[in-house]
Order: sequence, then structure tokens, then C-alpha cells
Amino acid sequence: MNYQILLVEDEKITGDALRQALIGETVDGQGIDVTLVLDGRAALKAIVPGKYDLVVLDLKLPHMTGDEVLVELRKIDPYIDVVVYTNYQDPPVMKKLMNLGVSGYINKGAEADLWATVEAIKARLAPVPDSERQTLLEKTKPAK
Amino acid sequence: MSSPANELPSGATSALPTLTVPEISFLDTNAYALLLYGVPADADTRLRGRLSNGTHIKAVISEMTALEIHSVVGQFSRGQTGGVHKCDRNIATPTGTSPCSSQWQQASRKPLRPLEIARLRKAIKDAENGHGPIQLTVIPLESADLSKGKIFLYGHATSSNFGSHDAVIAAAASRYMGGVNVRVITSDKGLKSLLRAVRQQYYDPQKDECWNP
Repeated sequence: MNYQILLVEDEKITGDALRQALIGETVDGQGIDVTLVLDGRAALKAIVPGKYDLVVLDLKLPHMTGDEVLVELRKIDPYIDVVVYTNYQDPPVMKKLMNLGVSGYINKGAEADLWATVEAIKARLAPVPDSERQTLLEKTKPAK
Repeated sequence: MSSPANELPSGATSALPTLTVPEISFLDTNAYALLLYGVPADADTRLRGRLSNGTHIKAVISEMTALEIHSVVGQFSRGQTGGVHKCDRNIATPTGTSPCSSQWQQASRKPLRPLEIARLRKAIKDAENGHGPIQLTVIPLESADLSKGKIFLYGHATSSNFGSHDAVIAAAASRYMGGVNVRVITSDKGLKSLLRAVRQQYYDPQKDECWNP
């Protein structure tokens, strides 16, 4: 089964370019499917718990800002992996996003390279190594 | 009188080529948890040795097992409050029974943080979607599994100590590929007892024990 990405980007040309670049790629032998939506409301309609492996979220969106979308998105799926994709780096907003469990940040500024963005997204999708999974499970043991 | 189509060419033998059906390992919930946790290490090593194709760990699970694992992850996100509880057993005495006066301690467990739960869920989703080091095929639950599980409970729960989830897992294993060359991986005493009763082969990684009908 291919990896599933929800890309929330209001600039259709930018979104299409990233989607096209991603769907030609593989991660650990598996393809990538990208659903592109152009605003936050469409993103919230598309989200189903467990459906997507990653949400790539622009911050400057029509109707709702990216951080407002994230607040609502967390109510639907508290654990979905979200990376912010923006050239907008207001420190209070970034702090709020970190508190909402954003797991990464991808620069889409003028100097950003499309293929570097693709590689950053692929790194997020890469399977969790055995060692990391076992370290996490080690933490679930009861305290002595 | 034989037709020309049934006649063998000169030098050919009538024996059909032998087809080797690879063994399918069907994990119960504890065997799946063993793979995820990696402990006890000796059982994990034996199990991985059995399931490895050289590059990946390959196995089959029932959707029931997938559900049970997600339920466990839910417990990890909630954590556990420790505490001291009064024992509610009755103790046998020379003159009858008396209430136990002891208390028992339940250890606390901190909940995992949301990002940790997200990574753990991803690890499980990776495995169940066939990505990464552990690659599982998840067999969707069918009403036939529930019906057969019920038959297993009717027929064998009086002599073997197994629960309804185990019955459904055994039913799904016997349905999958007609049960042919399907080996259930389990260390559960009750499930093993059921599998012997219904003549389904199993392997116990804790005891390194294979059973064949």
C-alpha cells in the first residue's frame, strides 16, 4: 500500500509541482500518493483518523490559518504526523505549532529547493527502525 | 481407449512436478507483541529466525490481532496510576476461610507523550502496510471467522482454556489458504490446546516447540 500524504497548499502551482515530484518517488520500495487540498476547510473534510501517513501544512491559507487548521485537525486525529511547509516564521506562531505537536518544519522560501523538500518529506515517511520502536516500548514498562 | 492427449511423450514420466507450498506463519497477538517488543530476547531471536526471508520479517495476522495491538497502544497513551489495593481473596485456614489481610501494590506507568504515540502508531502502521523491517499481511475479519470461532468455543472451551479472541484467531488461521501449510505462532497454552484439538499446526517461540498434526 502506498504512503498517503495530505498536502494543504493554497498556491495551486506550488502544490501541483510538489505533488508531481512526490508521486514519482518511493520510500522503502513503496510509492507515494498525494491528496492536494487548497484550504483548511477542505483539509478538515479530508482527514480521517489513520488514513494519512503525513500532513504537509502551509500556514498562510484562506478562510483559516494553518495553526487554526492544526487545532481542529488534532481534534480529529491527535497523533497524525504534521510538518509545516511555509516561509512564514513568526516565533509565537511557531511556538504554538510546536505545542500542537508539529513534528517538523520545511522551508518553502525563495531559496527552497523542490528536491530538498521531497527528500525531507521522504525522511518523515521512512519506516520506524526496530531500535526506535523498542526504545519507545521500553518506556511503557511499569515503574519499579 | 486412451485419447492421444493423454499419451505421454517418449521419455516423459507421469509424475507431476512437486510443488512446494511455503509455510505461512500466522501470528497470534502475543507473538506479534513479541516481534514489536523484542523481549524476551531469546524467543524474539528464534521467532525472527523463523520468519526472516533474509531481508525482512514476513508473517500474517488476523484483523482481530491488529485491533488488539491498537487497544494496547491506547493503554500506553493513557498510562496507569499506581496504588495500593486491598487483597479481596479468602485465605484457607485449618478451620475454614478468612478474608486476606494483605495489600498489593500496583506499579504506575507514565503515559507516552503524543509524539511518542505517533511514532509507535507509525511503526505499527508500517508493519501492517508491509513497509519496513517487519512486513505483515493483515487478513480481514469475516463473519465466517466469528461463526467458526463460536463452533470452536462450543466444541472445545470445556476442555481447553481459551477465550473468544483466540477462537477467532484460530478460525481465521484455519480459513486462510484453507489452513494448508499455515502455522499459528503462539505461546498461549489455551490456544495451543485448541489448535491441537482442531489439528492446526503451531510453533511456540517461548519453548521453541513445533506441533504438527
